[in-house]
Amino acid sequence: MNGQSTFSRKLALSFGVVVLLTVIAALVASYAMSRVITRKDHVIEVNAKALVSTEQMVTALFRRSAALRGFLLSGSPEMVDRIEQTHRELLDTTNMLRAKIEDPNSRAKLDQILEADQTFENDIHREIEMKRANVPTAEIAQYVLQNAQLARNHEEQLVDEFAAAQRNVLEDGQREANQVANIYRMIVAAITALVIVTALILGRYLTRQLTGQIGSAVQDIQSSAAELQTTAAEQATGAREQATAMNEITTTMNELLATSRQIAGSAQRVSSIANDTATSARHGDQVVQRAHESIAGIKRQVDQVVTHMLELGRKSQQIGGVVDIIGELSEQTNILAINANIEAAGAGESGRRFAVVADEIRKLADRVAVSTKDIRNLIEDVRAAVNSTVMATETGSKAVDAGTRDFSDLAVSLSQMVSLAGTASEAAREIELSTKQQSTAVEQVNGAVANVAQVSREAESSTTEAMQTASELATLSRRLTQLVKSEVSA
Amino acid sequence: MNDRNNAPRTLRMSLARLREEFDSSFALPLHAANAQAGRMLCFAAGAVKFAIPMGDLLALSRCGSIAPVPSHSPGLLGLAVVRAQVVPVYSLPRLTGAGAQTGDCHWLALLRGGVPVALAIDALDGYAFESAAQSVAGETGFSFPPTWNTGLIRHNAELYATLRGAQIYDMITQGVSQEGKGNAT
Repeated sequence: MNGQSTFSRKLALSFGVVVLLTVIAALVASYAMSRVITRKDHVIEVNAKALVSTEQMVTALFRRSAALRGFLLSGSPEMVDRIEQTHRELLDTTNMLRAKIEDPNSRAKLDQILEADQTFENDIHREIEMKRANVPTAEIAQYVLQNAQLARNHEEQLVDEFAAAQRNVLEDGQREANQVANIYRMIVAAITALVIVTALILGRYLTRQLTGQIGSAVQDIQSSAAELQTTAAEQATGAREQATAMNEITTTMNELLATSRQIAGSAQRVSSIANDTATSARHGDQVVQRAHESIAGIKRQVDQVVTHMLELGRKSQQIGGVVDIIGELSEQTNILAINANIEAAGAGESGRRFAVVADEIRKLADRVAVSTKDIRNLIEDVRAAVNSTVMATETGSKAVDAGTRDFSDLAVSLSQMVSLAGTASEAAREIELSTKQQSTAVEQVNGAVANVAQVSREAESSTTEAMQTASELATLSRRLTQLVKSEVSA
Repeated sequence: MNDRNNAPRTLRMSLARLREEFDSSFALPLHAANAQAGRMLCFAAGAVKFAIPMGDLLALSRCGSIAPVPSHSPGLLGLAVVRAQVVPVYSLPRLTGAGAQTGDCHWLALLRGGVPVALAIDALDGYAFESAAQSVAGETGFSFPPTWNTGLIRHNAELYATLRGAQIYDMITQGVSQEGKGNAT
């Protein structure tokens, strides 16, 4: 019985202990009763019956003596039969006793009785024969007095001794049975006393435990009742505040309902705008595609311009090579002209006109040299212009490539814009639908809030009742505390 | 664009002018040609400009590679091949003591004479005529040795020192140049 066991468990355990001890006492009493009854039965069955049988033996012995005397007086065969019958009864009784009795002394006594009976029986048959032989009665009486009377007395003495012994045995059995009965009576009395003491101890213990636990429970009830009062008061205040808040929530819900309807209208307009945006984005995508194709054509044209410019550069180089050849030729011509002048000068008067021709050829070669220089300069200008053009076209080609990439990015952006516009339109429709559902939900919430306000008011009244109940519970607990304290003091 | 369009036209005009001048040159009278006696080849060698009579020259050729040779002659630059023969190449500025042959040699003028001798020329400036009007002997700007019997002519606003082939041969053979004398002593 530790402190953690409940009181019902303790009560059940104590009751079980008492019942167990009671059962033990009952079992011990039953066992003692059985032993006493067995002992008494043994006394009754063996010793008492043996005593009765002994009395039957005595009776049979007297009846045989009476039958013998009747035969001797009347000579009737019926008496002989009665003698034989009583003899058989005596033998049967003796044998029956010999079978039941376990005492060796008694058995020896029975053997002596049988031996004496056989002697008496022999004397009886002698007397019967003497009677039948018409032996005078006096002689038969003499014989009886000398033989049969002695045998009969001896047998009766043995039977009396056996009967006395059996009476002693019966008395001993009765005493032993009484002793056993007394012993078990004392044992049962001791167990009963133990049960009573145990019951008293357990009752005392359970009473103290119950008093302590009830006192603690009453204190808990008191504190709980106080807390319940406080809580009920707080709940009453909270219920009033909740009712006020519910009214504010109702107002807010109405505003929210109006806002939701406005949002639904805005979402519908957003959906329309998103559709227009998607249409514009698709149109823009088509425009970008066309612009992309135009830029691709421009890029091809620029590539062709670059190719032509490069070809022009190569042609300029070839022209430069030709001009170099022309310059070389003019130089050679100049040399030839000078040499012709030299030869003409060496030829004297005849070479003068040749010298004029050679001089003009030299001048022409000089002019050609100047012109080739101008041409070379022009070619250099052309090559520089070609290089600038090629660089410009390469820059333009790069710009076209960048523009192509930008247009590709723009096309992707427009495609994404189309997708996003579709998504925005879908989202706007979902917002519109959700807002309508929200409006419906707000209306439902509004009704629910009204119901909650009603419930709050009812809760306020219920809380007041709970406060009253807590007050009554506190009063009851105080009374129960006083009652428990009075019981404990008692 | 206008310049590019005008360039071929200018070239055609230049060609037409050249053709006209070439054709008109043959229309000159013979006396005018005869009047052009004493024709000289003007050229630059180093920092000095020279003029040599055309009759003193044998040929003009491009300046190939000049192989330097060890020599005490101050004006000798080396040996070169002119018209399939090896000739010594001299520097007129060094021979005349007017300075060094600083420029690149572009031409070789072969002197007419007994022994073939070539002169290194940096640039050809054209022809000049040794006439009284053009002779400016006595003007300042040159400090040739007094033994030189040389003069000056003006051509295209430039002064040229006139040298004869024989003078050049004398400078080479007698070592009359100032630098040549200094080196010899």
